[in-house]
Amino acid sequence: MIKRILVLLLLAGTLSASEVLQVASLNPIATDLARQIGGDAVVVIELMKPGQDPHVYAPSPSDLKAAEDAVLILAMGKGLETYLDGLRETLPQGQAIVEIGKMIPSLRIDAEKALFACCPTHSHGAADPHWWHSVRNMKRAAKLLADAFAKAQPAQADAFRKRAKDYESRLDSLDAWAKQEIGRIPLTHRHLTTAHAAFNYFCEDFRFKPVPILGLSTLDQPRPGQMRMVMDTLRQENVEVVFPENGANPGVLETVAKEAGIRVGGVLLAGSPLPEAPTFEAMFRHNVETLVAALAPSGEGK
Amino acid sequence: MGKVRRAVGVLMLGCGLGAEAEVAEISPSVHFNGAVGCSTAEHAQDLAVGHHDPTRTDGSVQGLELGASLRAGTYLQGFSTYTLHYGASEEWDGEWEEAFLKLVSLPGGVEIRGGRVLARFGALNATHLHGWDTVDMPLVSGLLLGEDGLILDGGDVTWLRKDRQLTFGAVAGYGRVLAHDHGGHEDEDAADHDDHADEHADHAHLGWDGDAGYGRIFAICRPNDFNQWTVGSSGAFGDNEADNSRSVLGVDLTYQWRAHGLEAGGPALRWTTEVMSALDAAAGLYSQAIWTWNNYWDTGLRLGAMDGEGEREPRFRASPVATWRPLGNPLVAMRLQYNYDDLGAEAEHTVWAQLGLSWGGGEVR
Repeated sequence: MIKRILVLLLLAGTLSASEVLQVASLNPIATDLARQIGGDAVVVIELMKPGQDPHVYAPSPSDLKAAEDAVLILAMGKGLETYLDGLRETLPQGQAIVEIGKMIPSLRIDAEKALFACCPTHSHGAADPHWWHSVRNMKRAAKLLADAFAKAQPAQADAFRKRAKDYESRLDSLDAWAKQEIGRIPLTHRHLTTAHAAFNYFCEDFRFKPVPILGLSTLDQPRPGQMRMVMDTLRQENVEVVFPENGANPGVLETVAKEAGIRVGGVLLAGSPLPEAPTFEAMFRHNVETLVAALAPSGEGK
Repeated sequence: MGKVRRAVGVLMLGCGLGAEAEVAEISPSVHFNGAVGCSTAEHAQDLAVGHHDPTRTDGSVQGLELGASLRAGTYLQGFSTYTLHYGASEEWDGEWEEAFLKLVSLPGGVEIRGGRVLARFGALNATHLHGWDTVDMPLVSGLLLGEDGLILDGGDVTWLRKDRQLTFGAVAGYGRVLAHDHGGHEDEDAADHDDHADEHADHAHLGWDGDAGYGRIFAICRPNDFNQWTVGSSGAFGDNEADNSRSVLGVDLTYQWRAHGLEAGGPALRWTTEVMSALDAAAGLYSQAIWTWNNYWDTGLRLGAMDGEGEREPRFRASPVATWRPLGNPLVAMRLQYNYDDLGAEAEHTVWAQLGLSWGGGEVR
């Protein structure tokens, strides 16, 4: 009898171990998404930490060593991780990259439609990689990741899909809250002036006009002659506030604000949530609250 | 260029957009398409349905398009193109194919065009010769919409509700239909070209005359960067040359797949099917699939069919086509197309070799 119980316990232990899916994550938002969808059935090896800049991060050899047991490597995709093709070639058999954002429809940087302060032709036609700044996109990502996990771990497929549905419900509530908050900002005040073009998906969802000064990437630097164009555009658009982003050099933005006589608003979280609140929901709430505080008429916001 | 800028400035001041005169930009474009070929038909022009179709086996200039696009500030754009043509008439022929101004970025997603416009009817009518994937026009387009397609001197209003996954649109337009001048055929020997004259009698019977209105509703579904579906329904209403009412209805479906999504390059597929019918009269359709292998090669197949009407027999055309861009860009393109034409009583075989040269682009549409 005791032997039978011991065998059963051993089997249970073995089954539990094999049901846990190991994944590695190249982005803290992907880490959060994986934890939300995976629950206890997924162990996430966090390679890029919150607060790091996704435009400059690349996995080191020790990062890859830490991920050697991962079945899936999660990336945001859409060209954000410029090293992915090279990484793919080095992966051992049985390990695959999941580009979460690949099947989410992109915004194309359109020189005619987007209000670019400078050099629109340099960005014309490029896919905007910052897809996560849209609740709608994150809901889609939850489904896509649940499918990827289900394919890798079929025994837990139902559980992954149920967690994805629960997460989508929470995102629906987040979206409703955001709409209500942003509704306090008049349309005429909805200019989102930042150093780089990270918020186009957010702008489309909430009817903001994006005014990115530097372009798509934190690696873009201002060229001579651009500052004049920036000033002209800010005046034409009656921009009142500029918003620095975490991880980006605030110097250019502060110079612009001083020259143009406009306010500097709170810091927006562009590429990564804060280490102390490393979830997409916390990041999104922070950004909405920051915008409302700066742009809602006095008495409506802070 | 200074005179052009001043003229544009005056025009925009007239439109109450003086502040925008500061940022006007004019972009020229030039496109050439010409073809040589061989055909079992005695006269290649007898098989043509479009004004830009090649009509001489020893060489036609299907179109030398001289165009310019205007972008002036946030709200004002414009486009004009003058097209020269040399074909069976053995005379150079020219016309303003389009010349319009448009107001864009208006509230509610509205855009207004005024001037001479290619009607936004169906999938292909608003595409100029240099944008075609085949040497010639689909049978049904030439026979039901007109040899130049449907071109109006008037205007149209377009409403778009755009979303990154789903876009809805509606267009309504009205104006005087541009009728193609058949004067080039007057000098031909009637005895040798009786069939040809009869062909044109059929065209005249089906042709528009006077004012016409048109409309289109469409939806574009883009579930991801790799696949896109466009479905539309169009109608055009006016009179024909016998003062009888004339209506043409159409439905179109286009599917596009791109291996690299929004990134340039890579294999791609574009498949379009369009059905049109003149009410209580002829109907026809075409379906064409173009496969892009890489920046250098496209291959495709178009099938087209058209009901008979009056003395015109039903027609069927099959056209395999291959396009080579030796430079890997649109600057130079060479196209080879075979047409199998089933005219009912007989079948004709034609091969066209086309040369296309393009400079400029990003045209306002």
